[in-house]
Amino acid sequence: MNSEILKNREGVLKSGERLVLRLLGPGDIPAMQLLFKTFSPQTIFHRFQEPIPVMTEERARRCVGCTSEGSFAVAAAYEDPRRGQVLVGIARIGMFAPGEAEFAIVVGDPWQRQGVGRLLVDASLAVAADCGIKWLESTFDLENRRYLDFCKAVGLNGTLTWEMGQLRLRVPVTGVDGQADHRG
Amino acid sequence: MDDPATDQERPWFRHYEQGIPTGYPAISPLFGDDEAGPARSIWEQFERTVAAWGERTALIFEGTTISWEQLGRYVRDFSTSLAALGIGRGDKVVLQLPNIPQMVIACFAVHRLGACVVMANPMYVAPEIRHMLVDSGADTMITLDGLWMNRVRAIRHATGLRNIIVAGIRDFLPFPRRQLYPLVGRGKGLWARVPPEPGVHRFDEMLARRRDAISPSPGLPDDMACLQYTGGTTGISKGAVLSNYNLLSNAHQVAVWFPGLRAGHEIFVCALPIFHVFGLTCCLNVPTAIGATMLLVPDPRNLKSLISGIEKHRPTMFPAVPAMFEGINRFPAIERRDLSSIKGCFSGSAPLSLEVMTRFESMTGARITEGFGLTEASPVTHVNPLFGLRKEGSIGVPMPGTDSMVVDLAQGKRQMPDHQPGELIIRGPQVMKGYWNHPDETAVTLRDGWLFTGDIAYRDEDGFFFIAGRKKEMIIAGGYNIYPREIDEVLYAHPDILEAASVGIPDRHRGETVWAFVVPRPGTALRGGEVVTWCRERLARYKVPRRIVITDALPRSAVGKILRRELREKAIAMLNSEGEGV
Repeated sequence: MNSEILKNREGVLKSGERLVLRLLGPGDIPAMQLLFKTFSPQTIFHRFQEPIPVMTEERARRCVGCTSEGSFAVAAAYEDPRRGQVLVGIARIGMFAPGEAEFAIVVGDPWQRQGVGRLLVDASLAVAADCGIKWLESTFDLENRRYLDFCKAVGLNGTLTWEMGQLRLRVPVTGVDGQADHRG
Repeated sequence: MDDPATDQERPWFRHYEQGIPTGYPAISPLFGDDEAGPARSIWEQFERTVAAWGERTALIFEGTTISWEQLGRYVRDFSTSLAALGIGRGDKVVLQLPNIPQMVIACFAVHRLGACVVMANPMYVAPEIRHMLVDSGADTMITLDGLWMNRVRAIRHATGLRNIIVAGIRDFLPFPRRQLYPLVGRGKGLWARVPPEPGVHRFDEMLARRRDAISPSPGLPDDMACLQYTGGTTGISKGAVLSNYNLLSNAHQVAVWFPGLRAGHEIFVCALPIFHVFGLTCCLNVPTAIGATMLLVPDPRNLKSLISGIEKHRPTMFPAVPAMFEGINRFPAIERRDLSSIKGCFSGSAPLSLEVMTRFESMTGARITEGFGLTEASPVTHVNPLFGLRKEGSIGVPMPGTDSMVVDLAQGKRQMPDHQPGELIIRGPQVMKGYWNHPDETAVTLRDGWLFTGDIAYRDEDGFFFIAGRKKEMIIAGGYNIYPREIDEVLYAHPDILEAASVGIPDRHRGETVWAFVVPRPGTALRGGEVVTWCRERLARYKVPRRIVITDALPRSAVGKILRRELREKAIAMLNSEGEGV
């Protein structure tokens, strides 16, 4: 995986902190646990589809995406002089078939509606394209309309189907020179 | 938004029986309507019925009969006592009662004051009751003596409860059952001696207290008449705000669907709990609107008593859930019992199998019509024609005055072609005003005047609707909606549980039943029985998992989401291997 793709992708939070994008690794488990503490019960349920009370180390290891081949996670983070790097959101991609991967994204409640999700989507699509992933799928609850609206807003347009009680959005990943074009 | 602008775009009208109006309001002599037009509130409808049918029997309860006139007096006296406690327009009163006369009296007494009823299931345990009391802001509750002592009293301090009115099941029982009831009720937790304490009042004493009756002050059509709590896949239960107009219109819509109904002459089996929105409309508001007698059934699981009651009192209408029809069909020697008085049945809450429907109909000679609805729509929105075209698996056609469409999932604006699935949306007089204190959820659910149900459906060329899939992971057991998230939250709170997921498994008798898969924390020796006990203390009985499967791990997707479908398949395989196939 070419982590150079994430270079020069940055954003700014409303509070002025500069965001960087990078891949997550095993060293991010404590930061992931801290990020979890910023999630509301609704955010937890929408992302994990289970009411997790505590982010255990084992679960955090899964979230940072370093548990299996073809699984990775992209983080948006800022530098805090006291606490070091603070994660504000992560996108996780897990391959389930050659060229096909599942996609999930979560942003801490204090940083929602500040463009973090869009940054993460753009970065994830670029990384996915670089990894040879042709299709991304995301499953979510029909009641999670905010996610559906978010996907539309960031241009994640694809086929929306309903199966086994959930919506499944399937989006093509078309990479051009390492940059994802997901507008179609 | 695509909009059905003309009747040509509402092909379902072709399937309405003769005499059924297509629109609402429908002025009808069935409801005692006169030149003044239809009633404008639940209270006004009740008053009309009392005036029209005073001598006739309103309630039959375990051998006690109460006429409409008597019922009207009880309601007047009880509402006067409620007013003396400071309850008035806009206040909320929680009713946690089974189908007993006090439930009916309390409902109409609250409406007489322009206040709002908040319905609570008597099976709710302390945390569920506390949530409802705190969320609604109600400061008055009417409950059973046993429930007060065993469940509510301990949490009073954590709520804003100011007045507690305790009713006794035995209060309306005839001699000698009244005297014997404590022996039976105590064991079931439904009877208890209530010591005097501030703010606690006895229902029977309030009823007997002689005061100068205050004048009624009923709510306006748009005023909140009922707060009906409903679960959700993504949150704690929310109160659907139902107005007088919502409730009244749905009662009228249901009543006109049965063209043979005769005002003042029908007898309804009221086995559906009135605290449930389906029972509230079909077992209280519909019979009240047409001056029918309500045969109150406090425990519908007691089929022996239910069947004997039907034989004895010869009811004509039986609204029920599939589990009740199924239970009666299977009752020993049922073919030798006489259920022939029943003319019409209304089935809802869960799909009714053709086999169960056919057997019940052939046994009784009654006609069952299957409908569909949701709490947010008071609840009935669709129903099958009683005698006309029937389509297996269909929820039927929209009720009078109700529009319905299937729209695209992505934007919810484009009507899907016939037979193409999409989200079912509904517009009509029965659609709620919103969720209590949840403006965001209201905005998502009510859009451009339509109620977005979250159910996946399709429509055919005749205008019949079919449910292709329900809201994610909702389990329907014995007519009750159960949301796995609520169960999972209780499981995750157990100190020895690391991960858990509950799923609905097909069940011959209840439709579905709950199983829970549980991963214990390493180093603990968690047992299934312990988990069940934990759940019983925190969940109403019908939500408690019937089976706990202890496992090492839960199946997860590539990004770590639990694959509940695999858990369901595993459970079904387990049942099959045990010879208990579903």
